[in-house]
Amino acid sequence: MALSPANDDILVDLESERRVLSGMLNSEDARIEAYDSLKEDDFYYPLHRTVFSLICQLYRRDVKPTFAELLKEAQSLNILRNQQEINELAYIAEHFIEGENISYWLERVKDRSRLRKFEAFLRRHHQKISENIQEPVDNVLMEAEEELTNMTALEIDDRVDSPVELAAVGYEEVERRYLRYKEIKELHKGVLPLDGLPTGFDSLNHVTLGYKTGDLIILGAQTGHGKTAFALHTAKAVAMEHKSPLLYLNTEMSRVQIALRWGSILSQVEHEKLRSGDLSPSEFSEVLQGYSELSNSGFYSYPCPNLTPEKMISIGRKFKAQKDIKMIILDYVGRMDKINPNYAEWQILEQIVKTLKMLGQNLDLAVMCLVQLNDDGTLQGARRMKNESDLMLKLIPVSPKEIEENEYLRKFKDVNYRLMIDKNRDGRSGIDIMIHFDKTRQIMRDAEPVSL
Amino acid sequence: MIVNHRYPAEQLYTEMARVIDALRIKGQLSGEEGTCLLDLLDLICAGTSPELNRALEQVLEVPGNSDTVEIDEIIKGTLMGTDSKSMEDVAQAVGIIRELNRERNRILSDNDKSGG
Repeated sequence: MALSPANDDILVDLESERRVLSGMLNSEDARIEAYDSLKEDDFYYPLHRTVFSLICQLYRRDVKPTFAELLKEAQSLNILRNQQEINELAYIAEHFIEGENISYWLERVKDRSRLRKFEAFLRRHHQKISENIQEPVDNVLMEAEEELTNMTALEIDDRVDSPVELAAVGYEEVERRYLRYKEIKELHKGVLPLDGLPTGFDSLNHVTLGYKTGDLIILGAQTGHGKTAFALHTAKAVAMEHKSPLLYLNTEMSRVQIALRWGSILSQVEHEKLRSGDLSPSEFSEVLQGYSELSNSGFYSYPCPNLTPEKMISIGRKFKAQKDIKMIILDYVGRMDKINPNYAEWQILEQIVKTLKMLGQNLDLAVMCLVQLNDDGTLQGARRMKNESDLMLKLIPVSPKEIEENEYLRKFKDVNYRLMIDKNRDGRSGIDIMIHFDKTRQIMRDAEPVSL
Repeated sequence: MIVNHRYPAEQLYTEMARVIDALRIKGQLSGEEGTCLLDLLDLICAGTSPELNRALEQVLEVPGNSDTVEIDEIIKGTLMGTDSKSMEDVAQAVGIIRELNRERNRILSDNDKSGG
């Protein structure tokens, strides 16, 4: 065996470190979990830090980190040159146990890492006291307390902002907005540049300034009223026009169905024609052109009929690390598998929506979640969903009768849907955006105003 | 202490990779040769291209001689130029290796006939 257990086994746990690395080499789930929750310096042994870092590098490039791949990577970086190090790596690679509870070993590695930090803290302060006994005791204690408080926080990333830090954040944000406003006036001649990802609708861009990182956007629509079309319209704006990688999770459609939808959206050829194959040569050529656009985009699709919140977190983390996705669209929440069959529908929805919000904030990406509206246009568990969301939209059909009766609607040539902004944490809400939805081609756009 | 519940195949795999790496460190294999062998090892162990396994087995079944040095080098060059992550590339390499092996066998059988 290459490494021997350290003398101080309270602070160092050789077996846990090996188990985590072994898990990362052999199981993708373990890789995702460890990549997300550990840092290089959580490992005590320098060699384990190196191996962890190598695995993470390969993982980010979507390369399966086999023992041979690690050796190749190490060679290209000119590291792991001695036999003892290779022996340890081989030992780790060989000693994987299928079905291992990786979370248990991760916790152990994290706990030992925190204990070592605590021990270093005690040593440092002990030395400080012995070197500088002139410093006021209050100062010494306050300083130690602050450090200890950060150390005992449940999550390492948790932090409390001091007044100075918060003021700095506020100042930077106002300065950024002030400069942007000036830029709008001078450079863009009044056209608002976006703060986040494009929504695909000029009027919605104007109200929201785009979908921002950490935002949870909820879009509600009744069955057959454009949920998937809206999702793919958003994906087109983000992943094709803006070239930002996006992950699309669909719980009810197959990959063929999704691909066919894209064919129609991108070629503007009627969906029914694509389905039947009744295409003219020029339409066929348009469709091929559309797919060429899709293949060069940042659209990643994951059709998953049995999606659970856990699987969603796992796949979200993976695509963030490997493709640097900027947005996730979940189409749609009602088809997700129940975590606990005893939960009521609203409890399940609440849990999923909370998970989505947390995912967006932790991974710095915008998350859009599609939900189904009841026949009367209301939403099940609406209040709770609204609380969690940053932007809540409802896609509602507009009937010819409504247009006839409503003077405002008559100001648009071809409105047939309205997008109601039910909540907007960062701007105006309670307003409607007029939409034209071409169902035959699955295309959406802002409704065109009647020219005067 | 960790107990190894896996098959000896796992140990055989790491042992093979270690030997390749050791030969490379000692300079008995070039960096490119080492990388190629490690890629082959992963490919064979993953079992993703049984055709390649079979094609290589067929080459190794019959030992070469001075007349097959050139063709053996071409087979080696083909393997080294193959992107093992691309199944299309691997399939193409299998076709080339099979073709080269036919030629190799022909040379060896001509040698046998002429008593060489």
